[in-house]
Amino acid sequence: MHAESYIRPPLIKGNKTYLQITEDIARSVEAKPSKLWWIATSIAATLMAWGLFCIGWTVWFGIGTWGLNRTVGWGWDITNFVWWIGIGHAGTLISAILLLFRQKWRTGVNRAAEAMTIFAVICAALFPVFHMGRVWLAFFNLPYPNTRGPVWPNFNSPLMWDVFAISTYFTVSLLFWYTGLIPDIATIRDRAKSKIAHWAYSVLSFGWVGSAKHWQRHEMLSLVLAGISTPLVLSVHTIVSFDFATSVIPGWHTTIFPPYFVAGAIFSGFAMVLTLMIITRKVLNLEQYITIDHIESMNKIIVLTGSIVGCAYLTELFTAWYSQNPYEQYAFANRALGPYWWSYWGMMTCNVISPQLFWIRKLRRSAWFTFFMSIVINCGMWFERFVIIVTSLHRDYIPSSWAMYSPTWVEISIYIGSLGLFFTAFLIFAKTMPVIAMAEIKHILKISGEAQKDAAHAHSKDHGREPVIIPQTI
Amino acid sequence: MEHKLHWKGLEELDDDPDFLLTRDKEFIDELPVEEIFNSSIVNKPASRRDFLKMLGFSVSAATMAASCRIPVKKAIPYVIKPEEIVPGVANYYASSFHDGNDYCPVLVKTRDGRPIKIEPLISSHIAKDSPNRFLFGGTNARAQASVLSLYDMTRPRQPMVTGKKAKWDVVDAEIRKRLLDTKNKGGNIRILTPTILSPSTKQIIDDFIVAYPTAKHIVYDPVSYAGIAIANEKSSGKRVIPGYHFEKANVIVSIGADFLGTWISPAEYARQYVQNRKVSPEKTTMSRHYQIESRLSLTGSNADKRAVVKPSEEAAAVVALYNMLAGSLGEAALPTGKLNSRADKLLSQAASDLIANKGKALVVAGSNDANVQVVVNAINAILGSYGSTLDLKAHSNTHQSDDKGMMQLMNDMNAGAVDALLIYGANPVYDHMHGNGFADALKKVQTSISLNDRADETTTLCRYHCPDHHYLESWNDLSAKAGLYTLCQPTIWPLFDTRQAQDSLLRWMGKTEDYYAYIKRTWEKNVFPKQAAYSDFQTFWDMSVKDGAFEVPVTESDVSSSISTDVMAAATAIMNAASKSSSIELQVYEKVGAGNGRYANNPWLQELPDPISKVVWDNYLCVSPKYAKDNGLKMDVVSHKTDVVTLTSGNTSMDVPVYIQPGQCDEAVSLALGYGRERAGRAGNKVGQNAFPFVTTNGDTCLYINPSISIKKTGRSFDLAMTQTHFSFEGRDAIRETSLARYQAHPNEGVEEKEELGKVWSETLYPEQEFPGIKWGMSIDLNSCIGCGACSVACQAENNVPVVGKTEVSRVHEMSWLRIDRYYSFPGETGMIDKEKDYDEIKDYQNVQVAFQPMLCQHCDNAPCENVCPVSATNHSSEGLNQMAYNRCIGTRYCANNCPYKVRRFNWLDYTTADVFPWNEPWKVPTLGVEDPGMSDPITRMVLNPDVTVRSRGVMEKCTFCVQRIQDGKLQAKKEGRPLKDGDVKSACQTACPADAITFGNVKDESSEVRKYHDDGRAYYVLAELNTRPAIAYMKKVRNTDEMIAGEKKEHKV
Repeated sequence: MHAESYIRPPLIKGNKTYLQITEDIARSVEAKPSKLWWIATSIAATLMAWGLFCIGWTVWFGIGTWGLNRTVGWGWDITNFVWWIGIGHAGTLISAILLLFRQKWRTGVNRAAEAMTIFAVICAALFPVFHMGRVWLAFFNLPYPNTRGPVWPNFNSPLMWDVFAISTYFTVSLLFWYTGLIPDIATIRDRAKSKIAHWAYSVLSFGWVGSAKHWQRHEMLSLVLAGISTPLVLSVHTIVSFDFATSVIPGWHTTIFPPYFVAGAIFSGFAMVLTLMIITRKVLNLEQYITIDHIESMNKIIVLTGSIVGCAYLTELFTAWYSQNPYEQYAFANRALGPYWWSYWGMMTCNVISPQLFWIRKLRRSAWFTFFMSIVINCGMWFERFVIIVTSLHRDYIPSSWAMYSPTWVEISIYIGSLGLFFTAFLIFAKTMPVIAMAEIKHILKISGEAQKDAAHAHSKDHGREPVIIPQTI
Repeated sequence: MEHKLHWKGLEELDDDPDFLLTRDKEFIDELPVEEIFNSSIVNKPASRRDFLKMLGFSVSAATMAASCRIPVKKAIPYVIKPEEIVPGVANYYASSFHDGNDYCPVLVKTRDGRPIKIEPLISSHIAKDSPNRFLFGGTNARAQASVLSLYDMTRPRQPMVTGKKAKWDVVDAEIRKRLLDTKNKGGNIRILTPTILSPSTKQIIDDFIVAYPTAKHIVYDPVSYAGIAIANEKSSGKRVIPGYHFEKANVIVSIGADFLGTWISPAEYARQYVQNRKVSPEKTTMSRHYQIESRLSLTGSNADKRAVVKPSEEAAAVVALYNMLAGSLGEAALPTGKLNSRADKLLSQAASDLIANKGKALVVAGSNDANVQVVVNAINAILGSYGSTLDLKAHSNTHQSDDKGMMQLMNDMNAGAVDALLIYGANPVYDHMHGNGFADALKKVQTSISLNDRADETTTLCRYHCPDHHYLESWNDLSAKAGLYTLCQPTIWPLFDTRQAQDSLLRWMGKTEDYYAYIKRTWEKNVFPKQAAYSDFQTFWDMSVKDGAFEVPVTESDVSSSISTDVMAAATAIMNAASKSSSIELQVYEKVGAGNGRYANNPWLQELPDPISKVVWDNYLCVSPKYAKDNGLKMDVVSHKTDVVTLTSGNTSMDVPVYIQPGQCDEAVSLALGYGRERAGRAGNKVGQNAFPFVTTNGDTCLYINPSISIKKTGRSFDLAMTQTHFSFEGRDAIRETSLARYQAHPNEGVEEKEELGKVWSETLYPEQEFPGIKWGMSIDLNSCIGCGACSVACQAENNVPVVGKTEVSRVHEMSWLRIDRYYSFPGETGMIDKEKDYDEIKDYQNVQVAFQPMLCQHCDNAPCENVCPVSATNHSSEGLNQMAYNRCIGTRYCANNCPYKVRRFNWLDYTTADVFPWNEPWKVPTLGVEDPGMSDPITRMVLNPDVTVRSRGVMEKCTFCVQRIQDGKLQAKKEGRPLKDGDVKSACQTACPADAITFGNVKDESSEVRKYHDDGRAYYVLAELNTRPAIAYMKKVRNTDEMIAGEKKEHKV
């Protein structure tokens, strides 16, 4: 028998050389910011400023300026928190888990996804901090030595676990992202023409010279961080789900939450990565690096995680019916048919039904359709968190306390402000740092085929240089 | 004495010149100042290390200086400390609360010289079998809230003449001159007061009339019970309201009388009523209560059997009942109208029950028509109630309103025949049906003097305003019932330059004696001789003041023993009046909180949810669901929006919001009195609409029924703030009820269930909590709870629970630690309809069953709130208390989310104004529109309990089981060197409850009362299946009925 492996299509299109890759990716950093960038950044920054004003308003007057009440103690605040944390899952998943699964296509998107993770976690952290009635005492959450006994935080509380889970996740993600950035920053430094840029990138590159020792340490650190982040991807949203799962409220108190939340997080994270990448590749002309194959791969993951989430929704319904627990049954009937039915059906449509369209190859290879779907999924995942939080709380055990909740302009503004913060940060990142990991993507450049060699020769002759072949390390 | 010389050494003795040179110097050698300043140390530039040292020192010094919060103490110590006041220790003074309408003997708790809490009075002078004993030991919401009115900022600060500030001596001189002039020219003087219970005040008025012979005293109550008094005059020759004894009745029939809520003396009647409603394995019988009414009253919601009639048919129902009873005795039937079949059926059941319980039955009616009350008297005579459940000897002295006299006064004033009018405690411009007419008539009175305690609607139209004290600043004596005397004593120096009305009257008579001396003199003359226990008046007086009450045997024998009435004439008059009925009728009523509007400016009462509708800060037109459907009226409980209608009767017309009320008669609407005040004060002005103009009259008495009204939809909508928006308990296990028959058959059926529960409760991940000493617990008897809300106000007063105002309540931000849940269920064809989704099956919304459930922190031993708090701000004490460390709380609200009982309350805004800066108070938040309920000024804040922390913004709070009282009780026992005994600690809600529904104590103590309740067969724990292990046991409600009972099918369910 004779079996022959099929020839894998190249992950980078357009027969690029190493230099071309550097040029293509560094172009956006080195060129003057475009008019479009200025417009987008100023809109985002304005929204962010408005959000900050509303946070100030909340701190000044109290949580009473929000629509929360006696019965519904968490609303848009924690909805947004879980939503942002979910979004913040994709980066680490792409960097760490896909790395372990040897999914090489990830190098095209991992940098941006990691950056997105960092910014999403920052946005997420805003909410649990500023939803506190006395935010100036937020440090009570930290286990610091004190003279009050000492008084420690309550290690039984899932909110306490959140503090650790999120801060760990943020720290590791930040380190991972920055470690990856160092060789690229050094590249930008070396190419920098202005003194200020040269100085700034020098500082940021921590004196990287690209020596073998540097590369060795870099690779080792990346590997260690990947090892640490892999369980974190699973643990963060598991712990966030514990906020609900360990409670007694019908609709919250379920053991399915950890896997369901993690799947949901990956689902929403990938959707947000797609939203950003589809814009970025278009605006920065990186279609040959972030190819339609990338989009397709990610859409496949979306179908998978979307189906897991859908399966979880149905399991919840089944469990509620099968348990014969009247409170549980009412909670789920109320989700689907109660006053907040629109959020439940919005969630079902956006998260369960619409991703199934990606079974169609043509749709999952369409950038425009994928962009539209990524927005739909992000809305759906927001609905999911709203459904879990608000519809469970507003009608729980004692009917006398049932109440309705709707947000005030302050809550809505803070949410919009968090989007402003996110996009401001992302736009500044896209302008100052390479959005694609230059060093890493060069690993997957196909250089050994005849066609590539010819192309490379042709290219180098134009520039009068010999191609340099960097050995692949991973 | 010899002057000795001491010397330090030989040098001094010898006056050595060297020594003399150095003697006066502190340091023998010169200080090397120059040297130091010229040395290199000073001139040398600071080294890096020195700089760091200096920096370190100054930063840490600055940090320490800045971080030490030094409390600013502004307290001024006593120069001469009063003997009885120990800072931090409460003093209690016996007193009595009476505002012309409600009467309640009270115990006033004062702290550092200011009254802060009203407790019920328990008097040792009252015999165990006294007919008056039920007046003692319980309070109602208004008595509880009365302490807040003392600190009302809208109380006048000084006397006024034509709206200008004046001095007392000037005012006195002017008034005396005017009164004397009036007297000399033979002009008429009138004194208008509400019912006066004080024998001394009555004596003063008599003296006044002697001094000014043209004076006449007119008694006017805003809500009159004159019909009962007139009927009794006809039947027994004495114009009184009898003493009712619901505790002796096995069968109670009330036709329109809300005797548990507002009728005559509700706190007393509630106390009596529950005596025969409580069941236990030893006593498995209870009274049966029938109610026929047109609106769903608090009393009706507690009835075993209830039927609905139109307000005008209540009279016919009374006659029909008479006919049924008389028929059984073979007496002639009276002419009467026809009733609906359900009411008719209920009445015949009631009649047979009444006959079977002759001598142990009581029939009451709410109508103020003397003819109806004549028939009621005849019914009670047939049933042998007189001498048993009805007492004409120890009669009530309250509610002596003379409706006809008031009309006469208005006519006289209009005719210009009244030259001087003294108003003391009455506000007819607001609360008379012809209020505007009274205002016009008042202009024709030359000398109008108001002695009211505030510049109300009537007072502002008077020439003189001589403001009265609050009752907590006053001396007084009260005789609410024949033979019962209680005293009222000041508990604080008057806050403002006010003067007790009686003193004013004495001044204007030209007397110099003060009222205190006057009372003493009256007592020495009138009360002292009637008793034999004390031989010396001063001792008697001291004991009476200390005890607050004194009882003397009733010796009056002028009450005829036989009740003789002309029922035929009465029935004919009723028939004639009934012909005026129409297809839709209006009934006006008092609410449990607001009453007749006197306390409109009391934020605690305004924010007390109505026991039935759960609406706060408003009155509204109650319409039945059928009427609403037929007329296209809507109330959206979710958005709190309700339709506004125009209610018209004759010339009176006003826009009122509707409230769709199950249990309301389809052909009647009802509107609460006591709202729509114009000059009540900051909190009470323009709250709701004034319903008094809808009161009608039959010429003799005021009637609270108006048959000639029209209702028109306006198309506008209105926000009604309510604390409960869901009607049904969804068939859940939180409320448990059973029928008396079932209870009698299985009194212990809950015990097995508890054993089963023990197994569930033994499972937990967390280590078991140990309770080495005491374990606090509570029991709430749903059979005794009448849902009145006195506990809720008591809790608010005791625990400094903030008032948030209407807008915040409608945003579901109310702060009450103790709420009373109210649920409806409806009899359906196959069973009780207790789920909202089945409401379509309801045929008749008039036929409703109501259940009340006081809900407060359950102090769970496995509390879901405790383990979720990230900072352990809420935790469990070793005595089983679920406690809040307010200064640890960071306000994540996770605990409130995870509380299955939803009893935790969050300080959403700076309601208590506890924040250091005033710029963020809720009413200063733009866009929110929160009103200032008037609780934040320094005078009103004097009502705060210093033993309870005032919680700041962003902090969670909830019921503490009155931990300050627990500490106080423990301390007391410790000081007395004895172990804590049952009853040493009573929670505020427990003492306030007129029905004794709440018991608190140590559940580990086998002999404690609370333990007995916990072990009782009726006891159950709400949501026990969640393994929360609550410390509050609820006693299943028992209904004395053979009809279906909501929730009964859920027996034996864990």
